[in-house]
This record gives sequence, structure tokens and C-alpha cells, in this order.
Amino acid sequence: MGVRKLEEFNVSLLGKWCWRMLVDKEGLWYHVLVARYGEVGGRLKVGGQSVSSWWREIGKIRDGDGDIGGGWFGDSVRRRVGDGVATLFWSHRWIGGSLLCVRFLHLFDLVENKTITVASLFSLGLE
Amino acid sequence: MWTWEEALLEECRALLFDISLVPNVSDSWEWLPDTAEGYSVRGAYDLLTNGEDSQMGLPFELVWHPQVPLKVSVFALWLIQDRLPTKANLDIRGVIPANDIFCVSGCGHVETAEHLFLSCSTFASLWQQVRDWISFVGVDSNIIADHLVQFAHLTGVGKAKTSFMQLIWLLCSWVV
Repeated sequence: MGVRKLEEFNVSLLGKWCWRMLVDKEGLWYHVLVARYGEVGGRLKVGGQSVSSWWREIGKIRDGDGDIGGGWFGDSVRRRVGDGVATLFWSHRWIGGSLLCVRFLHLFDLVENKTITVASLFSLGLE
Repeated sequence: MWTWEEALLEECRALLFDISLVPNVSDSWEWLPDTAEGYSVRGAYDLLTNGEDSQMGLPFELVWHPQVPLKVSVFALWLIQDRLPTKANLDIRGVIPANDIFCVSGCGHVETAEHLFLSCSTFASLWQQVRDWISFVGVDSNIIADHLVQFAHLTGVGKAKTSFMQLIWLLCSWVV
């Protein structure tokens, strides 16, 4: 592979964990992390006082405040919507380039159910 | 609702207009750089390193070359970072008296790395002569790191060409 930039290489290895956090939620390792750090809105909690430096780095990569590449991870993942049951309308990136809660910040402020899924919103009809 | 909110809602509706859900297909995550295979460490590494080539990383990378002895590379690295013991640098650290900071060639300028390697009439003319010798036209940047990058790409794109120019640049600065 000819690795020369160790920092970037390390970040891409850690990024693999961020990816698996999204696609491999059945694994034992994920349950261990849920037990250790907790889960909020389907996402593992990052940050906090007594977390390992490994976990802190992973949190930075997932949420895009790392030193290297900024939001490269968040910019590269997207939700492919099938029936829309497991996709959050406002806070998953599924349509367009950005989160709808960012793009339509003022509308998002007005809505009552901020964690509505794409499926339930469509069943309500677009009002 | 205010008018601007209406407009926003209209924009949101327009965005959703031609979306239709596919029953019995679950939602899934997609890795945009490689939608077929998903995340790969190699892919992510490429993604992270590609964007940076045009910035800081490049001059520092050009310093290293398989056919160049380590001392030359380290010398060039120091040159780019202005860590060489030029008279200006020695003066900053109080090694030499302030009235002895002028260029060894006697041209009357303060001996900084930029002066010595790029603008001194005695030494910097070397670049022009080298370019004449390989018959390429170019100008000298007055920042050393830029100079290296520019010089290495003078002959156009291509690994072999860049490598060759790299070699010449490192050699020239070593000789100076």
C-alpha cells in the first residue's frame, strides 16, 4: 500500500469503525460500545469525561471536527432510502447534499416531531 | 406562517416532489466514494491524501527521492523550513554580531535563505542557467517551497519528469 502519511492512514483505519458503527449494529462489539458509552437516537454517544483516546478520535471523525479532512466522513455517507422506515427525515443525509435540518433550519425549528422518519412523513402526506 | 417560511416550505416540497418510497426495501447506508464496495481503508486514505497534495504536503514530499542521499534531502527540508544556519538565522539566535549579517557574496543584502538561494545575483543565476541547459522557460518564485514545487512541475505532468526535475532541484540547492 506504500503508506507514507501515518496520520491520514490512522484516520482512515479509525474511519472504518465509524462506518461499521453505521452498518454493523448487530455485532457484539457494537453492544459492548452501547453498554459502555450509551446510545442516543440510534447513534452511539461520543465525548464525555472519561473516554478512551481511541473513542474520542472516532467521535471526532464521525462528527467532522477532526484535524484532518474535517467533515470528510459525514460528507461521504448517505442514506439510500428504500421504504423509508429507518431513515430520519430531518437528521439523516438522504436527499440533496446536506441534512434537511440544516438546509431548512427554520422549518426544522417549527416541526414538532423532530425525529420523524421518511416513511411516516410520507404517509402523513406532504403538508 | 410568514411569507419567507412559505417560500422555504415550497422549496422543501419541490425537493421532495419526485421522491417515491420503495416498499419492502430497507433503508441502508451508502459510502459515496465507492457505492458498490462500501468503506475501505485504502479508499479513505486516498480520499484524505488527494485533497492535500496541492497544499502543505507537497513541497515536503518532493524533498525525498530514492536516488538522493539522505543528507541532501534533510538539507533541502531545512532549507524549505528556513532552518539553515544562514547569517540572518545566526543573528536571531545571537551567534554572530548584527553587523555581520550580510551575504557572503558581498552584494550587500542580508543573508537570508531566500536571498541566498533565490535572489542573490551571484548564486540565484544558477536557476536560470539550469533552465537554459534543459531548455525550459520559467520564472523564479521568491518563496523557496513554491520554487521547488514550481520547478518540479516545470516540464509538465508525469512521474518520471517530476522525478527528474526533483533530482535537479535538490542537486542544485545542495551545490549552492
